[in-house]
Amino acid sequence: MGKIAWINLSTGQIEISTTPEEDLQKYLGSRGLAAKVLYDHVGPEVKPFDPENLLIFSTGLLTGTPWPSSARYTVTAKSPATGAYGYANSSGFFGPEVKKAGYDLLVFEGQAEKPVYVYIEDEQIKICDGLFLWGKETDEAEKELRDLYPGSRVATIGPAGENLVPIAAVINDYGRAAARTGMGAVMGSKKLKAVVVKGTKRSSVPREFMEVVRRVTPIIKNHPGSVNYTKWGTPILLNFKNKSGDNPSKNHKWGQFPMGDKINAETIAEYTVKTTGCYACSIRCSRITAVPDGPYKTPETEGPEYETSNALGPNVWNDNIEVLIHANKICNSLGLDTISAGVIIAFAMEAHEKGLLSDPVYNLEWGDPDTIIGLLKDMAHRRGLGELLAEGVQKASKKIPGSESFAMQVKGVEIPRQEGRVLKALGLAHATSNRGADHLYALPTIDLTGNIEVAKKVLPECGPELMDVTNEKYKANMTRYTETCNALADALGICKFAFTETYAILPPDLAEGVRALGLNLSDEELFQVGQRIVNLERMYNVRSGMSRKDDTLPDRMLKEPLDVYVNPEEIEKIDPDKAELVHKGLIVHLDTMLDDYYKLGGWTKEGIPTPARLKELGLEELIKDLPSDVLETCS
Amino acid sequence: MKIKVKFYGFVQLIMGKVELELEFPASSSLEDVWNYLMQTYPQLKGQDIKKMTLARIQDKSLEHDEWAKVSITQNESIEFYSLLAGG
Repeated sequence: MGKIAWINLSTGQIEISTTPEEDLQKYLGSRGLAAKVLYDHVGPEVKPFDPENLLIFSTGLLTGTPWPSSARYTVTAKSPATGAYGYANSSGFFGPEVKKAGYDLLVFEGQAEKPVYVYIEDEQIKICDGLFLWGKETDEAEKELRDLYPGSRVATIGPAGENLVPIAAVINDYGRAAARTGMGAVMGSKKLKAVVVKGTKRSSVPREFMEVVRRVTPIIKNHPGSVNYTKWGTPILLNFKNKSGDNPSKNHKWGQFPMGDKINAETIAEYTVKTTGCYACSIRCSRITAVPDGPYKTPETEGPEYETSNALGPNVWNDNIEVLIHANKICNSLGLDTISAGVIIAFAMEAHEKGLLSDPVYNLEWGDPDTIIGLLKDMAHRRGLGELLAEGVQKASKKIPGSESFAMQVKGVEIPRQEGRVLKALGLAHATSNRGADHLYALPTIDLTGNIEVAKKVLPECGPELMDVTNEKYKANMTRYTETCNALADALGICKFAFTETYAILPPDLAEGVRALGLNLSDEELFQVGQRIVNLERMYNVRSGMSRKDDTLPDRMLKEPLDVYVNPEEIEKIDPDKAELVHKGLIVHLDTMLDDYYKLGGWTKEGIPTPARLKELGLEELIKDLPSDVLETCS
Repeated sequence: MKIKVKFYGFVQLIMGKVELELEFPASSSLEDVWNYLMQTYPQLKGQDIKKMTLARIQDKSLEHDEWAKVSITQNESIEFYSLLAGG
């Protein structure tokens, strides 16, 4: 059985208990179990940087086992970006080390008086003086701690987290990021610089489990979708997306980048030093890049992945690959979410273009390297214009009149690098994600991968329109299915590339593995765990006052039609009226999709779970937290 | 002969079409169909697009090196798709 450690940074008190089996049955672990603890202990009255907020590191039921790509861990807290639910997860080797030390959850509460780090070696947990690390960048802090504790793994924050920047990430393994929703800032508010873990327990799994692992591993590894990522990593997406209108540029003014030949899989490959992978991963999609010399000389660093490549490339109109690699490294070192950072800089550049913003230090021109690199550093250190921008585009736009329509965020979280006007399901998913705009929350891409076999199997009620990517019909059905699957992936601690990217395996395969580990869950019950997690998180937000009004998209997506060019190089050279277009006038008709999405999930028209739905999912205890009008209407 | 070509995923987006009905001479190959599409829809040009595109006929996936050897028949339904999604 796994354990839960409660570590009070105010009092120094540490308590270790066994994870209740009932909770594992209901939530599996990681994202699910952490959501339950956050719901039970951090109410709507707690502010993100209050000592009463919890910071929860959690591992999944499969994390650290031989299950393929079982490297992931989650960091959960009330988020400074959303003001409500928040979590981020990451891969590498840190999560499996936490599992090796025996923990399902590490729950940090309170607030240290002075900077600290926490060292964990199996049952031994020490809160240590971290003053010597404070102010250091993530790579330097990680190296010092790894030298101090040979054989350990480290998750740390950089200056961004220390300075409570709401886009601050937690970084582990020198460049893997639990980036979204500002978990690094919550860590900073607790003055917790790093968590150092060394586990000595060997993973021991039943023979039946290994039989399932041996069955599913080659299916995942040899799937053509996996092979693509092994060969090319995620930057290959740049090539396809740029021709399809799903490579947002200039803060989503366009869906394509005319200088696409300068920022693509091939140019990133020129700077790739080696490929690598996370714990127990047969796909190995990661790339280590470096810039050997010149003004943007950059030591070896993980990435840039597709999301970063777009955010700090086309989205800010940057066509210099060396600037992109350099900017990615700066984000990793300072502990910044690359997606949010790029979206914020693009927002500032557009505000400047429209005459709404100027700065004495940076010219804020599209693609200007000094602006990109300078603002990254200034946001992390809260200097100059960086002080305003560090708060994210939602808050910054409120201080720059006229800029709200192009503040690309949902629930306070900057939109990831998909164009919702083209990928309609992603538009819906960005709007409805319980952690704010996010692609991995639901990852509704069965249509995008042309996965007809899976569509027939898991969404038999849908017509052929489902596979038409720009058609909004049935996108709610797909999003409901995929958000459940992705909640399962996060609760189990497995990578989505080994599950929901390709659906090479399906939930019943996971259920077989889970049962082999001793949990008594049928296929249907396992699937319901995913639905339970989504509803629990939704209720966390409902309890904080969120509803349909928050499940929305920026005006740009809803009102500004997007044209997709046959030749992306013609963008800004030839007017859409005169250019040859593949798609014309795309926008998101969100309301219809939202109605379907709510209805399919057993939620009210306001996006709130009904008492009946909560009861069905075994969440009766949450009914008391529903708004009174919902209780009255449904009684 | 008449054939039906369906497009999925990024290939569908790049084409801007879900489906086409085309005429081809008898004994044409799958490779001929792709070459015709590239000529007619220049946005498909580029090795990167072809190497990430898969074809499927009657539920059977076909590797690129098979395309030239696969003869298409009257009323054949060919599917082109790309197995890429998230970031």
